[in-house]
This record gives sequence, C-alpha cells and structure tokens, in this order.
Amino acid sequence: MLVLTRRTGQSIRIGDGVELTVVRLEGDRVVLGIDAPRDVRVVRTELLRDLEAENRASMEARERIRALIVGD
Amino acid sequence: MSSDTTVPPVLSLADGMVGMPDTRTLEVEPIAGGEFVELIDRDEPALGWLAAAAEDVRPGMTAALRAVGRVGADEVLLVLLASHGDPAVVTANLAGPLAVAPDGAARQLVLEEPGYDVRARLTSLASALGG
Repeated sequence: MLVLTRRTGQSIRIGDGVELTVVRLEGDRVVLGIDAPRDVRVVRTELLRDLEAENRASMEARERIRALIVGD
Repeated sequence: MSSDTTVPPVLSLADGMVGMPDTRTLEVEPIAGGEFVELIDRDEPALGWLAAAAEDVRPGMTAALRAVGRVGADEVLLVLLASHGDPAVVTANLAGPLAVAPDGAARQLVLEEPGYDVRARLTSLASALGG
C-alpha cells in the first residue's frame, strides 16, 4: 500500500480523472473531497461489505420469506 | 408489485451482484400473485432471492434516482428482501437495489445517498404477515 502524508487542503491525484482532497479534520475523522468522472463509482468500503453481507443474508432468508409470503 | 414495474423473465448482470461476481443470470418467477418475484440463479438454482418493486417499498424512490441520473428512464428498480431480528422482521435492501432495463440488462446499484438503508423494515409486508 502506498502511504502519503497530506495536510488540510492538499490533494492527491489518482489516474487521470480522480482528485482526492483533505477538506478538514474532525477529531479522529478525516473529511475528504473527491472529484471524479461520473462513471467512476466512489463508495465507502464498509458499504460494499454491508451490501455483500446483506446479499448473502437475503439469499439465506429466501425460503423463510417465501414461506411467509405464499403461506407454505 | 407496482403496476408500472414490469420485470423481464431473465435478468443479465454483466458485473454480477456485489460480492458475488459470478451471479450473472437470474430467472424471474412471480409469486404471491405477482406481488413479489423470486430471482433464481440460472447456474446455481439453489441460490436465489426474493424481491419487491422498490416503488412498493419506497414510493418515489425510482423518480428520485432518475432525477440524479442513477437510474435510466426505462429502468425499474427491485429491492432484495431479507429477514432479521428476533422476532424476525422482513427488511428490504434499499442501498443496493437492482436496476433492470426492459431487455433484462440489470445492475446492482450502490447508493451512498442518505436515506437508503441496507435493512429498511418492510412495514407493509410485516403488517400483512402479522409482524
């Protein structure tokens, strides 16, 4: 993993079209600004993890919910 | 299912589902008189999901996402159902709906916008089921 040190207001550029800026610090949190083309998906890693877990939970609940819906 | 939500009989997900890149083709079977659909993995029929029209769960969701360019004018949205808790309640995944085009091309959206919960309680179904 590449590790860089930046100050508030400083940026890094990723590829040709993505720029990541440190907007401000709030306690132990970093507020980031991201400029990216519309076709570049920017999401929090934990949201992707949540969705993957929920996809699996939905799959596992399929028969249970089906029974509730159709009254099996 | 909402009358303006017509779902093709087969969905093709070029990128798979989030965390499940190999899930590419889902067969759609209406259940409960068409109020819900079952999505069955064509390659692994043991894998599947139950889904509802997003409009039945969160009216206005489709239009809101169309307005910001996240959903095409001809796409409809399905939300996957799950159950959580004890006693169990049925939930809908509003953060990861499936956008479905009339030709069956589908993609799972990842919505960072606030208000789209991963586990939104499906109150209408819960009450209908006595939950």
